[in-house]
Amino acid sequence: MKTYVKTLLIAGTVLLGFSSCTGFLETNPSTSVADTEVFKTTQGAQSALYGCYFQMESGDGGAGRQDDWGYPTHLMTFDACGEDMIVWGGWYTYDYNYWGHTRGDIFKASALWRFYYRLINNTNSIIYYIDQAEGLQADKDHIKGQALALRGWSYFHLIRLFQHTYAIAKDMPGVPIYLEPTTDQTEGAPRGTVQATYDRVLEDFTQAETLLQGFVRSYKNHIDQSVVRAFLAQTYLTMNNWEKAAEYAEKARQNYPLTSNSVYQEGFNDLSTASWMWGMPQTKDQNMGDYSPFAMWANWTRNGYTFQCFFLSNDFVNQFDDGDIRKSQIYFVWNVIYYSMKFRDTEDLTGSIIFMRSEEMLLTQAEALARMGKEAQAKELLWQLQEMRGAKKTTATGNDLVEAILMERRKELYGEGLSWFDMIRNQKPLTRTGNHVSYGGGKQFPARSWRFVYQIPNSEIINNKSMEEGIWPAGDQNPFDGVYVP
Amino acid sequence: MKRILLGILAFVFFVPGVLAQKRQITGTIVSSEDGQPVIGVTVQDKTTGTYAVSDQNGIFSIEVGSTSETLVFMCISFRNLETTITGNVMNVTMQPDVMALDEIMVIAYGQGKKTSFTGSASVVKKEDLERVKTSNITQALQGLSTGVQVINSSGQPGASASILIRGIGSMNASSSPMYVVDGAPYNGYINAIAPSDIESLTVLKDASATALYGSRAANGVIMITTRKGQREKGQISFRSSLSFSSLAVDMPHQLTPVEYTELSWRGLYYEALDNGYTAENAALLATNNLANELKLNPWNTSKPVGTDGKLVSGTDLLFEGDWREALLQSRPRQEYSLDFSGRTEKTNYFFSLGYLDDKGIFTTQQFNRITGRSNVTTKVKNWLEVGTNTSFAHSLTDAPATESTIWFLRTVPSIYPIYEWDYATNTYKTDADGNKIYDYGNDRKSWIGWNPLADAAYNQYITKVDNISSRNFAEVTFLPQLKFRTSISLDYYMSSYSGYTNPTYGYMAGRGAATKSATRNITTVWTNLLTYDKTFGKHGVGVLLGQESYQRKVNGLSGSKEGFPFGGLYELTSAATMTDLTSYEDNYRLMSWFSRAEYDFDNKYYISGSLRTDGSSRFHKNSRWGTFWSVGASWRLSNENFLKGNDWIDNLKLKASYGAVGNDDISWYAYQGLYGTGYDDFGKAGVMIQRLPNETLKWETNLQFNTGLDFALFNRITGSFEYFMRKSKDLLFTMPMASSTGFSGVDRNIGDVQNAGIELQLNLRVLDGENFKWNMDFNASHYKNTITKLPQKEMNSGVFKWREGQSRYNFWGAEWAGVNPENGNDQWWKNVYETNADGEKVVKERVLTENYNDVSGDDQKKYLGDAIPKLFGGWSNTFSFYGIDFSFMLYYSIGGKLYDSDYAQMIAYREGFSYHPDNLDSWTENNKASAFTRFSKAYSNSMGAYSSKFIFDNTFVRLRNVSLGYTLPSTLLRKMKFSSFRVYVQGDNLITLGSAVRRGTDPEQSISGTTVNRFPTTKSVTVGLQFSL
Repeated sequence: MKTYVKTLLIAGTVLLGFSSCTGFLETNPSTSVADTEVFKTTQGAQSALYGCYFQMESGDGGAGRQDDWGYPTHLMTFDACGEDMIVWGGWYTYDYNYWGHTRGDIFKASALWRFYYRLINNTNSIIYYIDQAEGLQADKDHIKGQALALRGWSYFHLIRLFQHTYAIAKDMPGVPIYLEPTTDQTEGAPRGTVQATYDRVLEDFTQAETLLQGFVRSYKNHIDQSVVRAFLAQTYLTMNNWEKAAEYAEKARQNYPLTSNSVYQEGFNDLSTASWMWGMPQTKDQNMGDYSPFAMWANWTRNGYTFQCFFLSNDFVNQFDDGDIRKSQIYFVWNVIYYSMKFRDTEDLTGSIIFMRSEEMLLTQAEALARMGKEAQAKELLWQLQEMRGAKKTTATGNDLVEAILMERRKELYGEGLSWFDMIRNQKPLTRTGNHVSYGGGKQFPARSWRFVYQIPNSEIINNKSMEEGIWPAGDQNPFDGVYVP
Repeated sequence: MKRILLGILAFVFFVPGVLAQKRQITGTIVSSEDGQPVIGVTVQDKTTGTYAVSDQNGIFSIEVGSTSETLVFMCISFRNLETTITGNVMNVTMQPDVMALDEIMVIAYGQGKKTSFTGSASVVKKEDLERVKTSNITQALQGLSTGVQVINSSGQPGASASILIRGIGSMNASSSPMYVVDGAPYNGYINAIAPSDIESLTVLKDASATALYGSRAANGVIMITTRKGQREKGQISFRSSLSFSSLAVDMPHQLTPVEYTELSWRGLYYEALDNGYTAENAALLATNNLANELKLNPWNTSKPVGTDGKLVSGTDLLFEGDWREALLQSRPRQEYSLDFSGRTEKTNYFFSLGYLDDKGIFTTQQFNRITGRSNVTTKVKNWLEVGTNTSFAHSLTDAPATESTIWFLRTVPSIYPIYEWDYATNTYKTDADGNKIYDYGNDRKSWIGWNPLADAAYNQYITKVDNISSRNFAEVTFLPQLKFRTSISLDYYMSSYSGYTNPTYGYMAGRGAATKSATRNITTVWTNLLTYDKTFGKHGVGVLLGQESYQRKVNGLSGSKEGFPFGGLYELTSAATMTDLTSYEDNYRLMSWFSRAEYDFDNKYYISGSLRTDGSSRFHKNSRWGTFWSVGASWRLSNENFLKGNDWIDNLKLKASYGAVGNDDISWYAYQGLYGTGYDDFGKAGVMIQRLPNETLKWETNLQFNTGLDFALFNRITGSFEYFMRKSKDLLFTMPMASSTGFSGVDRNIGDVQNAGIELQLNLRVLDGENFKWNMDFNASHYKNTITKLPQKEMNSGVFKWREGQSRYNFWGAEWAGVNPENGNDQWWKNVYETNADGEKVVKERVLTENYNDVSGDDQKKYLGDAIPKLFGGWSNTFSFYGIDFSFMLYYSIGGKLYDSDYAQMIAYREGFSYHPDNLDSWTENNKASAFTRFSKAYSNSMGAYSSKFIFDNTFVRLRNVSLGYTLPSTLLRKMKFSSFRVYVQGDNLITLGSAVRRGTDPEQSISGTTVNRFPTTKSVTVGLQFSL
C-alpha cells in the first residue's frame, strides 16, 4: 500500500507542477513581431517603410495571381488596355480584350483596390507613429516624407483608376480617405469627392517634398525629392494645371539627362541608367521570376522562360519615321505581327524595371508649355528628343502640336505604363484598328466611356457601411458601361 | 481477442464450485464459424447450478449431479446452448451470436461495452479494411461507416482522402476530424500508419462520444487502434499483394491531330462569320490562317484543311505526340507485411514490418514506404502494467503528377510532339548518342517549356518523410476498481523535400536550380488518468478524472540556389547563387482537465456525463479557456420484462445525448496583433502589418444532439438508426471589413451553421449455413447543411453565395438556357429589373441573352444547387462457400451538384489547347439540334464561362471493391503447420457509373463540388497471398 501512496504522491506533485506552470500556454511566433514593438525606434519605423516599398514592388492585392504582383504588373495592365500593344494570348488577355476586367466582381478591380489600400494602411502607421519614435529628427523627416509620398501616390492611382479624370469629374465621388492606422474598430470611409481626393494627394506630395529636402537616397527604388516633384508634375498635368505641371516637371528632371540612343538600343533593364528617375531592381532573391515584363514581351532574347504575349500593333508601328532609332528595334515576325526589342532581360534574369525617366518629365513639360501657348519653348524640348532619336521634327502648331507631343509620348514611352492614363486624361476614345486581335471583347470605346473606369469592388460596397449600394448617381458604384457626359 | 478478454472476465466473475464427487464430464467446445476452440465458456449444470469454464484450448471439465440431465453452455458473443448429458465426454459446437451484444469498443480514454455506450460511434474492423487496397488508411473508410463522408479525390499514390463527419461544422476553422491513435491525439503523418497494423477504426460522432476530447473534437474523432498480440500460441503472419492500376474514369478522348486541326478550322471559320465575313470568305480565311493559328504545324502543307473544313486529301502528318500513352502507364504496386504476435500470462506483444512500393499510373510517379511497429505491454508487478507501442515509417515520394500536369494531360494538343522535330530532314532530332531529344516546345502556341516526361527524366521532386510515433504508458492498480494511468506519447515527423531542375534542358537551361526544405514536426502529449469502476448489486458506477498537456512544435527550413556548373549535381553546395533562404518555428499548446462519470442500473438504464476544460495558446489569456461537456443516456428496452418474452428481439436500445465540443483550429497566434517580417526591400529588412490584435477571440463551440435506436432481431438483423443535429456556436468566422481599411476582415466568433441528418446502418445475416454464408451490410446517411447566422445579409465565396438558411456549398451563378438552335450560340436567362412602388428593385421579367456580360453581374445570378449529396453510403455483401470467399462493396452518392471546370476548360476555344470531344458534335448548320455550343473563336471568352451550363448532377455509384479468395481447409493446414492460408484476387473501383463518366471526369472531386484538375482516382486489380503460422 505504501507504494501506492508513493505513486499517488508523485502523480499529485506532477499534476500540481503542471497547473502552476502558467507560462505554458504563452506562445509567440518566430517570424512576426508584436505591432507595439515596431515604432519604438526610427530603426523599426525604417523597417516598416521598407515593408511599404516591398508592397509597392512585390506585394499583392489578394488575387493570388501572377498578374497581381507589385506595381510592375499594374504598369503592364495599363498598357494592355491601350492602343499600342497587342496581347496575343497568355497573361493580360483579359484586360486587353476588355472582357470586363473593370467589373466590381472581377478580381482585377479588387486586386488594384486592395493593393493601394494595403499600402496606405502601412504608410498611415508610419505617419501616425513616427513622431514618437526614438531617433534623429532628420531620419524621422525622411521616413515620414517617403511614407507621405507613397500614400499620396497610392491615392493618386486610386482616383485615376476608380473615377473619370479630374477635368470632367471634380465633383464626382472620389475614393475613401484614411489618415490613421486601421484598428478592428475602423469603419469604412465614404467616397467623398474627386476634388477632396486630389486635395489629399497634393497635400501629401507637398509635405513630402518639404520633408525630403536634403534626403539622399541610396537606392533608386526609393522616393526622393525629385521623384515627389515628378509625382506633382503628373498630378498637375492630370488637373490641367499647366503652369505647375511645367514647373515641377522641370524641377524633377534637373539631375537626369535624356536616355542616350545606345542605352535605348541595349534594352531597358538597368536601374543605374542616368535618365532613370525611379525603378526597381531585381535580384536573385527578390524578383518577378518568369512573370516580369521581360517574360511577357515577345522577342526571344530572354535566357529563361518567356510567355511571348506582348506585341505591337501595326498602326502604332507605322507612326514611327524611318530612321527613328526606336523603329530599328521593331521587327515583323511570322508575316503577321510586330515585336519589340525594347524590353530585354539581363543575362542572369535580374533586369531592372523602369517606373519613371526624364523623358516623361521632358514631354510633360513640353505638353504643359504647348497648352499654355508657349509653343517655342515646347518645341525646343520636343525637338531635343526627336533630334536625338532620329525622328522628324514637329513643325505643327496649336492643337496639332499638343497632339504631336502626345504621339511622341506614346512612341518614346510605350510599355512603361503611361498610355492608358494619357488616353483617359485627354478624353480620347479607344480606337484599335489594324491588326489588333479580338476574342469577342471590345476593340472600340468612345471617349469618357465608363469602361475606362474600374468599378468599386463589390465586397467594398457591401462591407463599407458608408457606401450606398446601387449604380451612381443612385448609389456609390460606378457604372460598368455607357458614356459619362459631364 | 474478444474471446480472451471474455475468458478473463469469466475467470474473474465465476469461481468454479467445488462439490462432492458425483460425475465428471469433459469435452471440447469449438465454434461453428471456424472450428476454433472457444475459450471462457461457462458450462453450468442446470440442476445443481455448478459451473465450469472452458480453458484456452476450449476444454472444459465439470462435475455434475447424479440426477442432472442438462448442461447449459453460455458465452458472450455466442448463443446459449442447452444439451442433454449423453456421456462422460461431450464435444460441443457453439453458434456465434452474430449480434455480439457486448462487444468491447474503444472509446475516449479507454474501453467500454457497446451495450452501455450512450453515444454514437461506428466501428470499422480489420476485416473490412483488408478488403480495400489502399496505401493510406483514410481512403479505406469510404462506404463503411454512416455519417462519414469520404472523398478519395486523388489517385496520387499514398494520398489522403477528405473526410467529413456529420457535415460541415465550421466555415473558417477546419472541418477535418481529429485523429487519435492508440489513445493519444495523433499529429504524425497519417500516411505513416500501415493499414496492416490496424486492428480497428472507431469513428466517434456525437458529443457524448467525443466530448472528452472536447478541445478539438467538434468535427468528430477517428480513433485508430493498432494490433496487439492475440493468441497465446505465438503467430507469424505474412501478406503480400501485387496490383496493377489505371484511371478509374478515363479522361476525355484526346482529339486526334485530324480532329484537332479540323476543329481549329471550325473555330476560325465561325469567328470570321461572327466578324461579318460571308461564308465563302470566312472559309477561305480559316483555311489560309489555320497554319498561323496552329503555329506548330504538324502537316506537310501550310493549308492542311480545305474550305470545306475537311483535311485536304493527300495531306500527311509529319509527327504527333501521344502524351497519354507516354505518361499514363500501369505499373506494379507491391506490398508485403510480416508480423509476429502473441501473448503470455503477463506480456502481450506485436511486431511488424511492412514494405510498400506503389508506382501509380503516371510514368514518373513513385511512392514507397517502409514501416515497422513494436507493441509490447507487460505486467511488471501485479499492481503495475507498462507498455510501449512504437512505430516508424520512412516514405519516399518522387515526381508526383501535380494539378498542372493533369491540366497539361487533358488539354495538350496531340499535334505537339514529345521529341524535337527537325523540319529540314523531316525526322526527329537525335543527340550524339542517337537518342531523341525531348521537346520543350519553343515553337508551340501554348505549353511552351512543358514536357513532363523530360522533367521526370532530368529533374527531381523527391519528398522523404520520416515518422516516429510512440505511445508509452504505465498503469497502477491500487484496488481492482481504482487505477491510475499515465502515458506519454510522441509523434515526430520530418518531411524533407529535394527539388532539382537541370541546367541542360528546359526553361532553366544554362542555370539549373535546387531547393531543399525540411519541416520538423514534433508533438508530445502527456495524459494522466484516474479511473474508478465499481458494481454494487445492480448498480454500476464508473468515474474518470484526467489531465492532459499537449504541445506541438514545428520547425521549417528551406533554401534554394541556382547556377550549377553542369548537370548531375543536386546539392546546394554546388550551385552558385542563393535565391531563397527561410526558417521558422511555431508552437501550439493545450492544457486540459477532464472527467467522466457513468452509471448504469440493472443493465437497463445507462447515463453518462463528461466535463472538460481546455486552455489554448491560440487565444488571449483572458479568453483562452473553453468548457465542454456532454450528457447521454440509453435504455435497454430489450431487458425490460415486458419485452423479455419476445425471443425475436435480441437487443433494443434507445439512446440520446447532448453536449458541447470545441474547435480552435484557426491560425497559430490568432489573438495577436502582428507585423510580419520578411517583407524585405532588396536586402533591407522590412516588416508589414499582418494581423490586427484580436483579444476577444475564443473557442468555437459545437452543440451536438444525437438520438438513435440500436436493434438486433431474429438473431439475423442488427442495425441502428440515428438522428443528429449539430449546431455551432461562436463560429470562428472572418467578419468582413471594408477592404479600403487595408484588411479584408478580422476573425470573430460570429455566425452559426448547423448540420442535421439521419443515418441508417443494417447488417443482415442472409444465409448462415455451416458451409455457405451470406452477410450483407447496408448503410445510408443524409444530412443538410444550413447557415443559420451570418455577420451580414449575404456573402459571396467564390462560386457560392452564403445566406442565412442556405447551404454553405450552394452554387450561385447565372442560369444557362441551352444552345440557341437558330445560331448555335449560348443563351442565358437575364433578369430585367424595375423599381416598384416601394422603391425596391424587383425582377420585371426574364429574357434570353446571348451575351455573357449581360449575366455576369451578381443581380443576374441565382442558386443553382447544393454540392452536398442527398444520400450516400455503402452496400457490402460477403459470401463464403466452403473455403471460397467472395465479397463486393458498392459506394453510392445520390444528388449533389458538381461544377465541372475540368470539362468547361476544354469547351471554349483556346489557342494551343486541345478540346473536349463534345465540341466535335457542336452546333453547325447541318447539326442544328446539337446540345453543344457553336465552336467559334469569337466566343472564346464566354463558351467556357461559369454558369449552370457546367453544373451537373453528380449522382454516382462505384464498385468500390470486389474480392474472391480461397482459404485452404483446416485439415490440410494442420498437416502443413499453417494456421491459415488464403489466396485472393481483388478489384478496386472497377466500375463507376454516373453522368460525370461521360465527360471524362471522376465523380469524386471535393466536398465543395468543384474541380481543379485533380489526379483522378484509380482502379486496380490485385492478386494477393496471406498466411499465418
